[in-house]
Amino acid sequence: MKGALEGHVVHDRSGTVAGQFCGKLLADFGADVWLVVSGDLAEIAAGGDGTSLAPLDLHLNLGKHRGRPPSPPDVVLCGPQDDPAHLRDLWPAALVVRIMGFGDDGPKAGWKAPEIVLQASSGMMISNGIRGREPLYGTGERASYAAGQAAYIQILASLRARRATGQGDTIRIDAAETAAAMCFPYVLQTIYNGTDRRRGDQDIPAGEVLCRGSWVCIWVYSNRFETLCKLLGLQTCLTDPRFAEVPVRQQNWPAFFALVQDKVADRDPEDFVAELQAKGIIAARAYRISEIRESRHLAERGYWRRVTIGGETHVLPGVPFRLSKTPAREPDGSAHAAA
Amino acid sequence: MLPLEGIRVVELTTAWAGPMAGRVLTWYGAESFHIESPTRTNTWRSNRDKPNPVTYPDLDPGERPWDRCFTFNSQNVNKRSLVVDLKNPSGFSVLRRLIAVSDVLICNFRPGMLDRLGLGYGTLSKEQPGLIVIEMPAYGLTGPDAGYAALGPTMEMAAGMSAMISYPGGKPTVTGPSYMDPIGGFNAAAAILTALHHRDRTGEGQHIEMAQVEAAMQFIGPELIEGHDVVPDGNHRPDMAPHNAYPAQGEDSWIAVAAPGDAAWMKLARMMGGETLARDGRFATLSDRKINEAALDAMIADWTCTQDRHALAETLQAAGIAASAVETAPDLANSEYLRARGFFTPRDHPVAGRHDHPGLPLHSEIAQGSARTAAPGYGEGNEYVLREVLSLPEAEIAAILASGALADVPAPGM
Repeated sequence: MKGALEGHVVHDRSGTVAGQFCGKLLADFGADVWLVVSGDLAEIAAGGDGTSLAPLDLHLNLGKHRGRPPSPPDVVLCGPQDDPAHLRDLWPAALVVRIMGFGDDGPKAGWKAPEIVLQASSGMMISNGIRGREPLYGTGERASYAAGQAAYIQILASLRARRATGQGDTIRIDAAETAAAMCFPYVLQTIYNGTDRRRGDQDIPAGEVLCRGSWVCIWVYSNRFETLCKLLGLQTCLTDPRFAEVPVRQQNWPAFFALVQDKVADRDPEDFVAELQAKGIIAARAYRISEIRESRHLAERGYWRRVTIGGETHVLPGVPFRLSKTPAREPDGSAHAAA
Repeated sequence: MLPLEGIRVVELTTAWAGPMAGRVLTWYGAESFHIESPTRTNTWRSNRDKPNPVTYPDLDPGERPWDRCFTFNSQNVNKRSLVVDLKNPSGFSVLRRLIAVSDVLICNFRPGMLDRLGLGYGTLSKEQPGLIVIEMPAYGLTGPDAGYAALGPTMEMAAGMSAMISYPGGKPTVTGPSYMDPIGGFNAAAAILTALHHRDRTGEGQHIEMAQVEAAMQFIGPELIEGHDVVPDGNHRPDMAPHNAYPAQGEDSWIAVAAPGDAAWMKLARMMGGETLARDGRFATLSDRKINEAALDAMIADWTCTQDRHALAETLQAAGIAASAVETAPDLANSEYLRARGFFTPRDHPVAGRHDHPGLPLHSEIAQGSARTAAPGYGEGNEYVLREVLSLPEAEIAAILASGALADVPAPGM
């Protein structure tokens, strides 16, 4: 089966997580993506040294090509030094995509934008962690991945417009604006009434308990509170004035989860989650990386992808979505850009 | 012309992820109908456990609180609302006929719901081969955990992210109230646009399975490939020091500062303590700074704690040092940066009033989307569907309305 984006040529000149993740999505779903390692147009055919197999490179660039692209691009993912106007002059029908931290105009033009800065400026970080302690930024480079995903979305919309008009496009995505758009919409709450919520204010009926070797998150809707109490032998909580009524219970979740903790410390986390779910109580184990790699659920779903490069087999995360008629390409070690 | 004009979407969705997917499509001009239940109100329209005044404009729930909730109203701009009782044969018939004249069906409930309703892809595609159906369950449609219920925080736990976020020795931490929903929303929109691209070429629709946990795992791909557990250490990272949030002037006021290399640190050191600090051997290299990170953090915190976080961030960025105020919702509402991007659009809501609405970060010359209308009131689109979309005769409309299949207020207690 052919990929949905078969026939489209992409020049990935980005050299960034956001740009290369966008290129990866385009490649996964059928585009021919050519990885350009230099910002210099003259070096468009440049190749890698053939030795890099870093996890980041495997994740972002598997399935992309190196070498001189055989045809002009439908999509160009700009590098940091690229001038989009110049690229549009070269390829008028192309979609030229510029992904930056804070954009190249506006009051924060050119700001340095590592992940912690993007999360700090998004409104998200102030909600992470414990009130009174420093807010936590999160992990990895998630704002950059989100920006790459946003670019993919805009590219698909612009391809549709190009079919109708024949025109190329200049697409601009800011990782900072993307991160703000992904923040819980407390900004509209503020606009509505001037109030502000942040970590410690969320009133979420949830908590974490440490089972045998792993944390489990439990979300206790009011219509499942009695079920949970009976399941754990905590019937006294049903009449305890701290927990009996919802508004007061909201203020005493830490005390309630301390009681739950006493009951479950020796429980197997998988079994405990299964038992809760069977009773209609939302729960999940907080998987560590090594645990998620061993997940029976993901294995049975055929989630992981495997590729052998140079005699070494690598386990890769599966595709983000499964299309029944135009599935994602299977990874091919021989096409690995860094191989 | 917007790129998705002429595309009609039906959303069997609730809360955030599914509606956000539909919101992206409407941003580009699609016409979307958010299907709602008269007996089980979307939690983003109302919190039955504990209605909270901060949810509403001017802290006032008004006579129709379900139309004034910031959560629902943030994710449903540009849409119509059809409140229909699917257990009522007339109601189900309305939905079935609406799907028959639509291009995309979005479902973000648990697996099996569409089949139980008789709306599974296998059934619908026989009559509508061009239809695109996306199901976006947390854990996928198959596998031992497929039936598990989930919310954003539990999905982040299951995706392996939360265990990588905590204070040293602390509990796994959720990002914001939820980070998985917008990731799921974006992924679903991306998947639908991909399928539409194929349909434009071939006329062929398809089914999409988007397991939200799996989709989010793309964002930690390198860690999954490496396969080693990440030991969380607050805001610290092995490849940068300093890298933390430091107290600033004011209550719960913070500034994030990161120095990716020795040169960045030297710039920061000179601003903080001149050449003496820049030459301090305890902090000369990354490994030195990691060894002495507690002292480094304490020293920076002493320097930042009396300063305005916004002014200091601008000063640091001007000097080439990565920094930002840890912004709050009021900061965002007043952000000159977001205003310059056109992030906010003022829209009139007939019940909630006129307010700026946050937008999407998608900028284009030929396919620029927009927020054109505020979120719909509950059941606002009922008659529009019957008259304008389905063009039903007046007698049938009267019969449907008389049957109680549609509603514009939730059932008592919902």
